[in-house]
Amino acid sequence: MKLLCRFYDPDEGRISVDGADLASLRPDGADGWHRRVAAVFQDYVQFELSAYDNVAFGALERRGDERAVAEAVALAGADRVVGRLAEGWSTPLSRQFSSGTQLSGGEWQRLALARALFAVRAGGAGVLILDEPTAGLDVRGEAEVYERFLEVTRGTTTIVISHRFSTVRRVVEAGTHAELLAAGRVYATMYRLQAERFGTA
Amino acid sequence: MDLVAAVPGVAHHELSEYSDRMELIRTERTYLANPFNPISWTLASVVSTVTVIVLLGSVRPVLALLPLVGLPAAVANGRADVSLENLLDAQAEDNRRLRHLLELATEPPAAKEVRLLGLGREIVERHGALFAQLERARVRLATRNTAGVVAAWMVFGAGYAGAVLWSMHLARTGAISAGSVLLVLSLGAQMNMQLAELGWNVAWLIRTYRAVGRLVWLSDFAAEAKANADPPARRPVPAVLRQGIAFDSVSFAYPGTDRPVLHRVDLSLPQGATVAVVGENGAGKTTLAKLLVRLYEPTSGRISVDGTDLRSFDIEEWRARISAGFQDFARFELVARESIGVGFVPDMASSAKVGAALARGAAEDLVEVLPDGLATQLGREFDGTELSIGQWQKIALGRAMMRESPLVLLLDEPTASLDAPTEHQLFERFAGAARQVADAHGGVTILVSHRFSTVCMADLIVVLDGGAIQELGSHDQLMARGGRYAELYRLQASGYC
Repeated sequence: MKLLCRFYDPDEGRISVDGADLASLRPDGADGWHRRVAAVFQDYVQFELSAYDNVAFGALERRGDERAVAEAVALAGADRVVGRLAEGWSTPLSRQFSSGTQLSGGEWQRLALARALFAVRAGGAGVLILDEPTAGLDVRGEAEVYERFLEVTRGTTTIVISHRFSTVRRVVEAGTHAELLAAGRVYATMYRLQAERFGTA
Repeated sequence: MDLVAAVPGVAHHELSEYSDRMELIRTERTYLANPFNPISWTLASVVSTVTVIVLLGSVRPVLALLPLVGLPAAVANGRADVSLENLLDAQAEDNRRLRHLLELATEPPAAKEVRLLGLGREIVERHGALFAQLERARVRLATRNTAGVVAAWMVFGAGYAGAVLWSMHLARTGAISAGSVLLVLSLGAQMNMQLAELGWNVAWLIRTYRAVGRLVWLSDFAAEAKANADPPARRPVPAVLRQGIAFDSVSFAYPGTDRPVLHRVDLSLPQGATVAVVGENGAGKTTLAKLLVRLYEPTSGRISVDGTDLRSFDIEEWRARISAGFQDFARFELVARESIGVGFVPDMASSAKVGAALARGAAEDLVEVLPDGLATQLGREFDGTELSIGQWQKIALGRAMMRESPLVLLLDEPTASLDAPTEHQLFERFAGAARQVADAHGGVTILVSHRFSTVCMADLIVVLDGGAIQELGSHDQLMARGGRYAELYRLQASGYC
């Protein structure tokens, strides 16, 4: 994933984007590759700034667009989080600051998802990387993310890294899932291991 | 640092009032090094000022009033210092903001996302703007103060010049000697310095007094927290659990908020049981666990262990009987053996015990990937091996497993970052560890999890919703009931086809 984000260049081989070598694209700047990639990393950043900044940072150049920010928040299911904040959008997210509020892990994760969504919808990112994006979410939250979130980002190349096979199953096209099961190698073993705990394999 | 760590809970870390005072104590600890210095220095300046006054009075009594014209300067100096102090007080919160922005710009954990989002310049700009704003306020104050001090010195200068001219006039008429003129000349100049010194020393005294005041506030805070935490009727922690742990109408709201996170929870955890706590985000699962560890105290109601109020145990003694692995586990960037061993310091030096703890946490394979095994330095900070999040979680699990005979084994989302085979292995070991806890001391195992594949193995499942217990029972009972648990279970299982 770090290679895809162009934090590093590969020692050998090449990654191409629509046929162009990734290494030949500028990483930063207004038209750089970084703007084309949105990510929710496993150790996503918790900005101890306002709730608004936490989402608007997904696409800085569109940060004034309050409606787009609100949309991204609603789509990520983070509107409930913002709804209970004492000073709404402008509430600082840390109890270290007066009138600030501390969020739980799951609530932070929803804001991180909203930020990535804002990057995709407002910032025009074409690649979305989700690294264990639901580790802190409850069952309903997980199901929501994959049923709603991925629907919204259709047309965006989405890469999900997950240990939860229920997740992978939701993301990958059904045929591919079946192909992998039929191949009967690592994927099938790991999948069965998890599924049999539910007595359904 | 002792005082911070001495407050038994963690609630204080989340109060901004507390943070402000800590910030100031941190930046002003030099004033606390020797609080008696400013007192003796102030006394010394008072004595030398009085000497000057007496000497001037001996020339002509009215000259003894000369220090009066110097008084505004002393006051202006002292006031300038105190007002600067007040300003720094007011800026403490913004200084914490500056530090967070600096961390975002410079610390490795944030670097990936900050680069990807192209936030570098934005963060630097915000830091710069906030810094400039604070700096402007300081400069504005300094300018105003300087103007006041200069004006006050001009008053003194005029008085001094007047006194010298007058004494020269007296000398010319022969009323006083030429030596007396020299005396006025030199004493006046000396007084200039002495008054400035007096001003500084008084300001120093005020600063020290305030710094001591903050320290006293902090130790009162620590003492009060300790007194609340330890009511007088002290009872020993039982060696073996005979009945279990009971929550009696327990409610809790985080400090500084009114929103109850738990609302009148009644719950009985029988000795030797494996209990799973499930519920949606914000249902109060982690809070329940934190109350049990006494990181916080219930706002109302009580928790009892074999009928004894949890608050009558010595908090250290109680915590010594708990093994806990939390969701937001700490990353101790030490040598691997120590990072795990801190779970039970007396056994930290024993590689065998640390190895056994790793095995109980299904994390023994971790040692194989570390270049120097248990002796590997962890973390980038000290040029060590950087671990993935899943590997850090294994370290944390090993840490949780260090104690061999806990009364409570608490596992809060212990597998969120682990892969399938490890998860599978871990569940079986957990069950083993739970049995061991139960057999040895009647201990209770509490598992907070979103993964229903583990949850269904528990003897007792607690379903929390909005801070209250919604359902309670075994997996079979709750599935038969067809309520919330059954619904959530099916929702997750439906991901497996």
